[in-house]
Amino acid sequence: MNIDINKIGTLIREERVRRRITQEELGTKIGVGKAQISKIESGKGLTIKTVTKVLGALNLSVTISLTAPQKIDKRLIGYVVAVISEFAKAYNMTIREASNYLNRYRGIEFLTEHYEAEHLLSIDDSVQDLAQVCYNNGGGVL
Amino acid sequence: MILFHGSNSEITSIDFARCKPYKDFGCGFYLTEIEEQARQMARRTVSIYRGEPVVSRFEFDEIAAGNDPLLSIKRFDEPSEEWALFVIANRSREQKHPVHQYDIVIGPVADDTIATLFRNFDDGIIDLPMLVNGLKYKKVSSQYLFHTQQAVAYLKKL
Repeated sequence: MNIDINKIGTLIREERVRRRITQEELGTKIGVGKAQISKIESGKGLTIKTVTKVLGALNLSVTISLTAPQKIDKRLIGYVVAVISEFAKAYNMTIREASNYLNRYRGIEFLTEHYEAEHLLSIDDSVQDLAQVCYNNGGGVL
Repeated sequence: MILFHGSNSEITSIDFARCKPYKDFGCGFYLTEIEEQARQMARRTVSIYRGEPVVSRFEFDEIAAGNDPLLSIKRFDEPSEEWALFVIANRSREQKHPVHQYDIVIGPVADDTIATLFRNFDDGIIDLPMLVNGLKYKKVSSQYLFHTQQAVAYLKKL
């Protein structure tokens, strides 16, 4: 799985939930409280030491690969912003809700990956495509 | 000339029932002269609707089509005011469709910078002269719309 390093907290949370372990139980395993686990999962105060401990308790390890960041096209940013705002309008969401939704269900990922095709369609079409993609990935609106 | 269509399966027959509404030139079968563009479209379609990315190739007998007196072909050479209003009408979800009776439409593809101009025009941020001004000197690729069965007769699957 390729995932950004700052998402490691989310990854830990998903794994914990998948195994039906509470934050308290996980905390007990490594000798910290529930609040500390909550903090780690939301990506705050992460150190390599704590991450390793938590992963160890979950019997997981992490591998790192260093890659150059993709150069982001300015036009792409403008396009993504426009589509998020139209998506929010179409589904009666705030911009923040729309961005969270599109991020969580990998709509933004789709948009950046298929920008070359999508930017030749109307913004309405892109909104519809995003709705379908997010729905496929477990999102609730269509 | 050879034209390309990218999709999530091989196109064996052109089925107008499957066309999507509110596209630039209306509901119909779209092709491009740029193979890479068709490939990107195929990958995008697979990513939404699954399947296999396939680029279907067609020979378009442009001369024979142009000589057919019963066939009406509309060609926009560049993104002009007429073209912009035509695309806006076709994309509109409030308008009655189809908005035109052409068998074939050939003309520029609106890219995201043009889409932004359309959006600003829609929202009343810019007026028509400003929109048209923004379209000037834009290098764009072409798309081919086949709108009717009579038009499709001039496409041969390769």
